[in-house]
Amino acid sequence: MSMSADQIYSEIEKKFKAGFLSKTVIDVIQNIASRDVIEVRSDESEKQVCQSYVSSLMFMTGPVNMVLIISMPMEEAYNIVFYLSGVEVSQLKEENMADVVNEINNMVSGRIKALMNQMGFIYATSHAFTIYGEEYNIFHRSKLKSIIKKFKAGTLELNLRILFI
Amino acid sequence: MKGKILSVDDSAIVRIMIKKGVETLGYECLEASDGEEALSVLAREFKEVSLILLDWNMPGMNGMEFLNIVKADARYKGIPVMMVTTESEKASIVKAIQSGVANYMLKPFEEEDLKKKIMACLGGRK
Repeated sequence: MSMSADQIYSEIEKKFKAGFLSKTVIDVIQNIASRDVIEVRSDESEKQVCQSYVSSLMFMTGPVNMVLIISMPMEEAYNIVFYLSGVEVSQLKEENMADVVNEINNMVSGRIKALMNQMGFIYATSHAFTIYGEEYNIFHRSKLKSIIKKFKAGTLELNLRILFI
Repeated sequence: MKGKILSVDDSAIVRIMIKKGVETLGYECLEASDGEEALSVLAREFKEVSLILLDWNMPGMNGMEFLNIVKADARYKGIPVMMVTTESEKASIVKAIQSGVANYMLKPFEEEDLKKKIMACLGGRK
């Protein structure tokens, strides 16, 4: 029996909100940055306004298309690179900082893709790409369905947003 | 150094993480950011490369395209290849194994797990 897009969305949302997304992000950050991570309350109506942030975006195409957006302060992305590489932050390039956020996005999307596959939904992913700068908005129609989650690991604040497009 | 291991990944951060593990095992880590670059490195260094650690999704020539070239080339086909990737679907893993990979490592990984799998690919040689 074929499912409508709304039914598929509903199945996916149920899985995401049942702890899968939170566990995935926590696992990935703990692994890559060796920090204890907690999920904090997020405001569903919050606009994605980023100040001195870096955001990694990835398209996931399948029965219901998604955009996965992971954002964090640029300073924290540099700190993770420093932790991983031992290279002083002053010596790092912007591409190193962007690379680490894209890799976090790759790891999260890889697990989402595998979950979708288990649920019988075949997904393809684009390469991740980054937006960064002093201040920018990621704007989309307010009626788009989305899931927003926020995490903290010490001084690191990480935002995850999935838009269903 | 005991020998050379080639790490192929478009992410510099992942290459750094892999390099740390490889060097702790006493191997030199060669690096390439995509399949084309990896083929250039192999052409120069294949006699000394003991293992290839290969990402799947890379811009340009991806991991599977690179793997197929390696396994079809008499000079390279004896070098074991381990996939290090976020591709965790069963079908992808089966496809990689059928294409000749010796082992499969999912990202994110712990350094100790990476080292164990590397040693397993190298046949337990120290």
